[in-house]
Amino acid sequence: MIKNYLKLAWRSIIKRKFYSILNISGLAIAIGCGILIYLYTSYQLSFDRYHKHPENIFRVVYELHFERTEYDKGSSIAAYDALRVDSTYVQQAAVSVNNQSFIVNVNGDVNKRFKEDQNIAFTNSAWFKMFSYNWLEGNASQLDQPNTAALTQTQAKKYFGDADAVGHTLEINGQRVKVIGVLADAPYNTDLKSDIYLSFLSIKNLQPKIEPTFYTDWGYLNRTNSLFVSLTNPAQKATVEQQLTTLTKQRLGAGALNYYHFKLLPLSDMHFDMRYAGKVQKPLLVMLVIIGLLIIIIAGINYINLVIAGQTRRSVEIGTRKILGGSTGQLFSQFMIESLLNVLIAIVVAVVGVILVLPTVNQLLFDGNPVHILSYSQMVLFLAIILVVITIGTGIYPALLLSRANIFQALKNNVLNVKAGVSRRALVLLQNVVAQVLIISTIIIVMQVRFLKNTDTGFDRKFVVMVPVGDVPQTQKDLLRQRLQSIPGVQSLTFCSKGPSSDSQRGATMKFADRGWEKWPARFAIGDSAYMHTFGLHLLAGRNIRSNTPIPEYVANQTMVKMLHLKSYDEILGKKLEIDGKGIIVGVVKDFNVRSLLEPIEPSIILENQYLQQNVAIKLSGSKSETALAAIQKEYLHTFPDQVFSYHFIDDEIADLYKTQSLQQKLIWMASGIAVFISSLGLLGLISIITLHRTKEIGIRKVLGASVTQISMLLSKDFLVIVLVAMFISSPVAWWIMHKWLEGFAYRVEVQWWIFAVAGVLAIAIAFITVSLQSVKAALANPVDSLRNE
Amino acid sequence: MLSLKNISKYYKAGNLKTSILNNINLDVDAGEFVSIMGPSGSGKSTLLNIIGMLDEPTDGYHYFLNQPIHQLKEKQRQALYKENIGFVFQAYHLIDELTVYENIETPLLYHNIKSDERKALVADMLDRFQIVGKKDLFPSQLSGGQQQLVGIARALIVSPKLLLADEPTGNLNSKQGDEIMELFKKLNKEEGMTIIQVTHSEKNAEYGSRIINLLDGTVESSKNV
Repeated sequence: MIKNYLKLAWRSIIKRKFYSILNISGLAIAIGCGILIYLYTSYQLSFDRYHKHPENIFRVVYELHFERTEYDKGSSIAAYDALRVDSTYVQQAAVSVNNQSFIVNVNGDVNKRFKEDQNIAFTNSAWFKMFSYNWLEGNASQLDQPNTAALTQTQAKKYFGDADAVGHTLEINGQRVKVIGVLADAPYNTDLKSDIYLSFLSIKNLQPKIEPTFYTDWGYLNRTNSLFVSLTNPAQKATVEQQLTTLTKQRLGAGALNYYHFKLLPLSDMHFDMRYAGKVQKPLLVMLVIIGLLIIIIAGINYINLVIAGQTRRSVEIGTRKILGGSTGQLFSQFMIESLLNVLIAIVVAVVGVILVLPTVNQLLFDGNPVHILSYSQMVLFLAIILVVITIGTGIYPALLLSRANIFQALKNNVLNVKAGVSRRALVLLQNVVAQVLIISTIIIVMQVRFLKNTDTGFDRKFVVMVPVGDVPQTQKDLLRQRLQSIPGVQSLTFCSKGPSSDSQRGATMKFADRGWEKWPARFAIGDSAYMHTFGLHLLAGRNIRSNTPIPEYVANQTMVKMLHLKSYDEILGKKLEIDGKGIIVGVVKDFNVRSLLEPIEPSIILENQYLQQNVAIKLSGSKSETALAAIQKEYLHTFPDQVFSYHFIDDEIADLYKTQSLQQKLIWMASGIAVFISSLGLLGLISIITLHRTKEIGIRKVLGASVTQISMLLSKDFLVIVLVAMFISSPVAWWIMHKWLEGFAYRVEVQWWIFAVAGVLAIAIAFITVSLQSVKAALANPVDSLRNE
Repeated sequence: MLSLKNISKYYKAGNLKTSILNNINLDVDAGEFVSIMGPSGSGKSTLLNIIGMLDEPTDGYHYFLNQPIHQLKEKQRQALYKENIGFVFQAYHLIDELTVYENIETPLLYHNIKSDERKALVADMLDRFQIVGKKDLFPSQLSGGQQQLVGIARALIVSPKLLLADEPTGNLNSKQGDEIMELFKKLNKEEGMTIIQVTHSEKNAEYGSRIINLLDGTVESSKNV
């Protein structure tokens, strides 16, 4: 019997190709989206969940309470030492000084030189006790000796090829470091990933310039210091936090408690807490899941509508089967099996589609953080659940309706006359509301992201290229400057710490003139006297800073003047300022964005700090930048023969700041595109079925003299009304959602009425075109054909 | 076999009462071939539907194989017609997605008959109607007469005691119609099948053993041929 049903279902799918394609493609697209969203969210949620007892592991982070609260994931080595020995509730403490960059000479061979950027960590065996790594060779205890290193498999291969890495040496910063172990490459789903692990005790040898306070000062908080503790019981979080407060008071004095607040961040939140450099916002995941559900619901509604409407054509078949002895139950199973088959085909199409588009999606959306399928068994389970839920969700109502039909009515070909009309309209309305909310959101998000990327940040960022040079003597910097300035196409250059608009800028509170310490910090823009010129900043009063003056010189921005409650620029010029050092303010610069546009402009000063000026920013004239870059590389390697040249454009760096918003923009684009497309499929299916039902009426009207336009209008009117009603419902909903979203930006676009109008016109146009495809065809048909039967 | 006593059927729409059948009395014995005739709207199709238990009378008593149909529940009625009545329609009502073979097999599936037995029964039936060569064709590939032949084969496969036919030749040309009527006559004569058909055609009616004329919902005349 089942075989018979399947055969029948298959034939009926094949026979009604048009409806089957509408039905299945709509569902398949929606299921495909569902699968992608499932892959993405489950991948993100799996981050660092594979360690032993992840629920017991916490990261030590801190809040800095000034006028605004600042959050940082870093910690101090002193805190590590204290927690390691001093706590009853802390089972273990582990620290890693990560994101280090070095130049590595393999076996001391200058020709095998690699620049390792941010993928080196200093740590010790405690780290490997707390977190799960797979040691292929050697063991973690050897990392407690100075000048030892463990490499990941890939890194070992990069350095030593197929030879055994253990026992070989690396030369880093003039020091020989012995490879004592090889680790399996870390899984994709971890944020605790480095390629080279150097022993913690090597820091003293490899970074001789590091101050002694780095190890002892409780307040030497560094973003790259990752401090983790594992507790005997997660419930003791608050107790340990209290302990940290007590320790802070002991080490830094009671006054520090006003500013420093140490917290424990659960490992499971680390990937999601954007305050502490999380990678993905939980709300984004929630938004995605909601979008996924909405799309599946839209497609499900379509499916139900199309099945009910389409199956009425099988009215006679239903009646005949009943007469031939088919029971309600048997007919019900027949229709359910048809649904099952349809959904199954949709799932197969969706899976094939997802496999085909996943690389593209990864590239387009999740560049740098691609989605990986972690577990195929879970995926199969997910698909099975989808199959059952969608089959039941979409199959039951039509199957019940059809199988219960009265034989007599069925044979007369009117199983469902207009009965399903009201609910069908409601379903189409719901679909349109969802689609229109998405259209409006898309327009606003696209505008906002474009605004963020293009807004005048108060400085010139076109053709500025940033080249890291590291901590080199001033004489070499001067040499490089001379050589670079001689390159045609180089307009100006500055040794600086970072460009303006960066997500992590140093800052400090200050003492202005004779006043006490201010309650708010000022941001630093660290660079030499050419900084303002290179970035095109405008001086409003006073003069630029000079290099190497006995007393440090500062240039303040307009906001700083405002925050100090000064009436004119003259009041700030020549005044003392104690901040990084003790210096004087020599100029005022027009406001520019030191951080990203997500933040309002902050009080900032431009100052010199030779040690931190480890990059050179070069302003190119624009044309022939390729040749200029090649020349820069040549001069760079001429000056620093043992370095590796690398560069990036400031513009790209700024685009990186808005990655999350970019991703949201792309996602919402796709979501609304898909929602609109599926809704249109639904409209198309419905209108064609309705047209079919009204064939006779259309024929009669034509015989009575109705024009093609009149008949098209007759058929389209209902749908256009629905789209209009949807407009009135979706506009306020979308307005509210977008209003909330925009609140997250210091700089934002205005939500204007025309956006809603555009969305409405778009929705009507799409609906009208879709509906016209069928209604015009119906209106053009020859009435003789439609009136011949019956 | 079948007995209708004072059967009436009417619809009420507001105060207006539309009568379709009015006080019909009819007895049919096993082995009879009854033709019901009458102009459009005389109620002949409704009468056939009531006999086939697809429709219920508003008033009256209905006995089939000595069972009081008017007292039976829906389920029991269904079981009764499923076992004993075969239907043939003017528009054939074959299932488009099924082949000739599968169309004939469908009632057997609903009667939970085992696969081997189904094969034998369908093969017999194909043989008997000489449509073995057409068994894998779909209805749309057949002529009207051939489709009706399949319709009849399908009705007969479960060996009903009574065959009901609503204008079985209405969609056929006269040659095809004659062939179907000959088949009915043969079934009636040789196998003793009880048949009740509704027809417009005087000529077709003559194939039967009794002709009943309906007019405005009442039996106008009943004569044996």
